[in-house]
Amino acid sequence: MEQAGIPPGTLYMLVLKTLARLGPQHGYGIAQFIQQTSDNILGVEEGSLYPALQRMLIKGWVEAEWKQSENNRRARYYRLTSAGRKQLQSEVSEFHRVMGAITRVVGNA
Amino acid sequence: MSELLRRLKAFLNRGQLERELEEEMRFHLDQSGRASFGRPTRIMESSREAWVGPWIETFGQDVRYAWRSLRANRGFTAVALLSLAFGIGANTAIFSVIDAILLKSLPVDHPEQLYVVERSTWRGERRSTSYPHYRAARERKSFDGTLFAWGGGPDIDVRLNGHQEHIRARYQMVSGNSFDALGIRATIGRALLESDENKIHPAHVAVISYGFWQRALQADPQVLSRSLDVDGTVLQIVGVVPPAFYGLTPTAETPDFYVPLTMQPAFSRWGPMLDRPGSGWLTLLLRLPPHTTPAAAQQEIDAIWRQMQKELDPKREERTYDRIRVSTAHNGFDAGRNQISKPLFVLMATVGLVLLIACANIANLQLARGAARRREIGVRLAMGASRARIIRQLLTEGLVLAAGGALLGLLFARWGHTGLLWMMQGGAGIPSAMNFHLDWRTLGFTSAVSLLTVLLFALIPAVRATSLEVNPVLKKDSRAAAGGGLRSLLGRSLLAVQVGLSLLLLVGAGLFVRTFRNLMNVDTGFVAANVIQVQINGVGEPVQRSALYHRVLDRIRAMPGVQSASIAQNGLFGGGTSRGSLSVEGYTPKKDEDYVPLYLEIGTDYFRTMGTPLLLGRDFNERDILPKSKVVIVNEAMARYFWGKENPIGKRVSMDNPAKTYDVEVVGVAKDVKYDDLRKPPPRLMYRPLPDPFSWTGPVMLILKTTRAPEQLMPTIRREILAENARIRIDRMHTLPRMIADTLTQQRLVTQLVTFFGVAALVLAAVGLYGMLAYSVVRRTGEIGIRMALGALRRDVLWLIVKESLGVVMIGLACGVAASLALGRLLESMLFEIKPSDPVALASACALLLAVAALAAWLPARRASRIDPTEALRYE
Repeated sequence: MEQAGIPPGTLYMLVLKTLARLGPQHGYGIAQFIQQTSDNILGVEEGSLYPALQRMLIKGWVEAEWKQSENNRRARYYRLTSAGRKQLQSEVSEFHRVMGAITRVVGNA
Repeated sequence: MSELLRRLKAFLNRGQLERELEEEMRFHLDQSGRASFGRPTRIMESSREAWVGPWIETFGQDVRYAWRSLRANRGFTAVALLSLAFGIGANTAIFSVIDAILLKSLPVDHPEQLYVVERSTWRGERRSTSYPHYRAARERKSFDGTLFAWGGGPDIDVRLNGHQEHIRARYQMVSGNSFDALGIRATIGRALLESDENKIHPAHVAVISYGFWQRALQADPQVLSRSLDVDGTVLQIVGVVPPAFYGLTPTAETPDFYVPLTMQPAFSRWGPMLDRPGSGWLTLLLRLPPHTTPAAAQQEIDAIWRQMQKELDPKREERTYDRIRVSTAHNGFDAGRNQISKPLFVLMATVGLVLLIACANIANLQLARGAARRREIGVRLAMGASRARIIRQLLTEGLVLAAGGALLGLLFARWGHTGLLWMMQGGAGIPSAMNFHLDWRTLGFTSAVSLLTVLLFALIPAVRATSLEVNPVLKKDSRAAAGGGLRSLLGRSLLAVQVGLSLLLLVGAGLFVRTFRNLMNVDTGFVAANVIQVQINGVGEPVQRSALYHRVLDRIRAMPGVQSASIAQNGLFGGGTSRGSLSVEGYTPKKDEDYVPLYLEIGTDYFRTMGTPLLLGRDFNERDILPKSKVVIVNEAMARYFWGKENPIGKRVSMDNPAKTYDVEVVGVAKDVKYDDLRKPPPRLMYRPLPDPFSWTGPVMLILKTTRAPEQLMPTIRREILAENARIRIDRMHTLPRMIADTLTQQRLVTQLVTFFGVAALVLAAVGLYGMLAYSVVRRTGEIGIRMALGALRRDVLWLIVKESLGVVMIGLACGVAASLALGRLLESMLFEIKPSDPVALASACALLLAVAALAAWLPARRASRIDPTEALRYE
């Protein structure tokens, strides 16, 4: 199946949720998780992921730390902050709201 | 907020963050097994944007681009930078002078709580307060606040203990609680205390300034064991005040030492005044508690004063009581301040106009450049750049230019500030309080002015440059007239504005120059050349002093080189005024009429020395100067006032006579003289003979006329006077022309500066006109070639070019004349014997401007007429 791009405005939510589920993770790991969990439908471009991670750092939703990875390479691990958790909550509820509305319009078939 | 901090941190650590990002992406690459990313640079850029926010990143880009662009156009950049530097520098210089003199707060605690109690007579003359009145006010007041007093003191000779020579020092007599009220704490020792001000046992102490300690005492660490000797009185130095404190008058020199008020008898020329309620020599100051308005204090002090005046003289009429006003003293108190504010504001307006002209010049240049960059901008627009983005970039260019101009301008400002103050003091040096300080206020002003100039010269051209139709530009259509210069209405308007503003300044300069000439040539009623006025103060009781002065007069008269000499109570132009009571036989003054003239007590030979002719009657002679003399000489103004067209000789008056008999006779009428101000009409003046001996202690003015250059004779005169008695104090010795010139210092200053800036404005406008016409010639080269090929003569081409500018200049002149007529009224108080709408001034300014404009137009026109038609036709 063809990979779709991440719908605009949902990248932050997907990354935050990933970190919430996985705990601290590096960029590659986040991209892999999203791809695999979505059955390869959602493909994360590095060109979008890393700038987004930097922006999230600035906004204080995540914190970063250099650690040793599984294969003993140096990697930067991102961790959810409490502000990030709050942001995740609000984004998810907004997402559900909008999706619910779209579903009502488009119908189930 | 914390996001901002994170952004800032990211901005500062950019390099490191980039390296970390690279490492992160390499890790990702290795893990995913790929060779490279799709668009690594894009990732970097987006990340960078995330770090600092998009606008800073682009701002940096814009600045670099602007820098390159400006360096490429060196000619334009140089002209623009210099004009900006000149304009901004001049504005900053004048502002910082205004700040130092008028605005700056005193270096004391909470200057906004400081007030000065201004006392003026019912006639409006300022009066000082006497010591008994000061103490009474302190005792009787009930409002919350501290009253303290400062007494003036000019220079005096002091001797340091252990030294023989005298040093000239400036001193200030202050009340014991002054330093406490001002919040000044001594850096060494102590400041004066309330207890030092004891009338019965006055404390013989002095507090010296930091500067004096460094200079005169060589920063002696044992300063508290030193003392000052003032004419026999020994004062123990008990403290040193901090260097930041310069006294309460910023335009005067910092006092070298402070003594308690009760030391007055030892210092004063006028004798002990601590017990004389009628002798005023103090200024009263007030510190009010925070957030208190002065209204209540003013009311109370006013009531106290009325009470005191009533006690002093119960029969005095209410309407003649002094008025009290409590005004802010956060910037010190300074009698000379009001006089100078108007000229300073005129100067501020002048440099503001010059800056406007400079900005108009640069704006026109920018418009022309915008036209030249049409293709570049067209390409950028076609590639998707938003108009706002390009405008932002052009504005940034203007900002860089303005910033450069401001930095250079600050340098100019420093020189300008120093030069201006130096001119104001007549070359006498600048009080340290007024040195050029680059404080935040000045910087703030400079920045504001710079930003304003950017708006003025960069915004409209930027908007203009980007309002393009993309297609025609890309197709190389060189006929599109989007630029400035003489083809566009905007360019023409800018030029007209420049011409108009220059005319305004030229007219102003012309008016001031004429005013100054009028003042210098006015008939003063006396002959000032070669006249010296010397103020001397003797010692001893009145009888002894009187005899002393007369002996000195005899000596001076005997000197070779002295044509004639006399003596007088006051000198002219800086000598002071006196009044007394007067009753004129046959004249009943109306209610509230201010009829009392000025008095002047003079010796024999006065009129001959001053060169003032006696129009009727006779001069005073030796018999008249006996103590009970009963004669006076009046001047024309007084004669006209009281006796109209009648002959005043023989009329009788009564002076200070309780019996009110008219026993004094008028024996002469002298020509009117300007007493202390060249602009005001001669006052009514009554001359009395200086009695021998006279009854008051105090200084007198020796007036002498020399046969040759007076300056050469001055040291000899000094020697002669001191030879008579070494204890005579020579307070002042100046030539009369110098004293008259001193009163004109400000006028001269304004005249010189307005003329200077007027010429600068003219040059700027001429350069602008020249530039625009030269540019126009270049653009029209093709057209000119065609015209000439079709038979146009050189003369016709010349006229063609000149004609372009004619309309603009004419309109500019018309607007300038209209503005001069409208605004001229504001200058009226500073002019003398010339109206602001003086036609000669207007006409000559117009003529000058036309001549310069003609020259500015002729040069490029001449070049145009020399164009070889074949070359021109090939030019594209």
